[in-house]
Amino acid sequence: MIRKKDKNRIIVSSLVLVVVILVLIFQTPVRSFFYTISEPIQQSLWQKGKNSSDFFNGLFSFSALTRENEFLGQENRELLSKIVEIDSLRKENEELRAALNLGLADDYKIIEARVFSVNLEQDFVLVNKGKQDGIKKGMPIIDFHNILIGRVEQVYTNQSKVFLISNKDVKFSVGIEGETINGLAKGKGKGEVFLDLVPKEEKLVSGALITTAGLEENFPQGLLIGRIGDIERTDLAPFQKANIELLLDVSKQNNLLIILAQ
Amino acid sequence: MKLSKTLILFLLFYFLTLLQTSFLIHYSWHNAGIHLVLLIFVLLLFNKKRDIKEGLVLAVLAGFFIDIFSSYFFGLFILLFIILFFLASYLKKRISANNFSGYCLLLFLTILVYNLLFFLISYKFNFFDVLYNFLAGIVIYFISKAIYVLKQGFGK
Repeated sequence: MIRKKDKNRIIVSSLVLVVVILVLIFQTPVRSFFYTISEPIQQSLWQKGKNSSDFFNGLFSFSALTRENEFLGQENRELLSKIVEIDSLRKENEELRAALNLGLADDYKIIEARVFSVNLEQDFVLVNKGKQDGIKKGMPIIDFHNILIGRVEQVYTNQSKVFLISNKDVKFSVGIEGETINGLAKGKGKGEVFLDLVPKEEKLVSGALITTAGLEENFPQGLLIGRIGDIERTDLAPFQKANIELLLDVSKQNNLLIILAQ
Repeated sequence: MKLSKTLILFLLFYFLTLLQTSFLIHYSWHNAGIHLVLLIFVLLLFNKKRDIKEGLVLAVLAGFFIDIFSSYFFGLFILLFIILFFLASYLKKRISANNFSGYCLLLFLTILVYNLLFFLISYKFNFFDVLYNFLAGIVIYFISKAIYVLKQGFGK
């Protein structure tokens, strides 16, 4: 005869086991459910967190801001001279585009998405656009200045999981701006990306701009990635490697753009 | 553990996970984020004697929500927190958590082990992460002490 206490234990244990198995089988809908109910709270927490951290950053970095201001002033002057140069190139480009009947707005079909959750340990973010908005796995995500942020990894009903370019599972072909050098950008985890598979004979220069090469189906050519950092070159390896200094902290962007089609 | 207490812990860990992934992310430093769920888990484990049932409930609830907001297969973080619970129980028998230095040592070791276990999955170890979370853990310890003192004051 089973005692009442033991009977209760068996019932509770069986229930827990059933719940665990159900969660394992239905992990995608379970995650989707929690993301849907959490999104409004997380949006609000996100905004409050951003506002408060901006306030504290302003308080603690006054002297740094002064130095940065001086540096930016100098950079601004250099950029002004480049703008003049670019302006003439832009005019030429516009004429060519008109001639080819191509509009800049037709480059990509995009949709705006809001970030509401970040996982720094695993290099991914959650955005508020999902299956119902036409999002599909593999679509690239950029910011408003054509900087590549990552790619869609998992699509839920109203949300998507986006792997940042620093995620270990993300790799894509890149080129060096103004050069014919190609390589492979690979996520290193914890916000770091490195450049690999660049032949030893090619000359890499620290600070050179890296953009997407567009060899993959979904990734358009010319999206900005970052600049070449420390270069690692040994006689034994056939390829050289380099750290990529990203142009922005991809995990702290509020609004992003998902490229639906090119 | 009573069902009402389990429900409160369920809601607590859910809210902590939301805070960790949406609010505290803006206070990350050199790619090291504050692992609030882990720090509260450590605090709850060490602030009083917990039997195996209570400890396992804490570990499952903490791991469950980290699993929900994770990109790995479901159950990985539940397992990781259960391992942490057994390790913490082992350490607690040898180091007293009643004084501040003992608590600091236990906190540091638990965070270090968590990062080492995570290294087995991600092959990435950031010592800065350990230090940053250790400091955050000390702040949380003092906040909990202050809340306890205030509660005692109101109780009189």
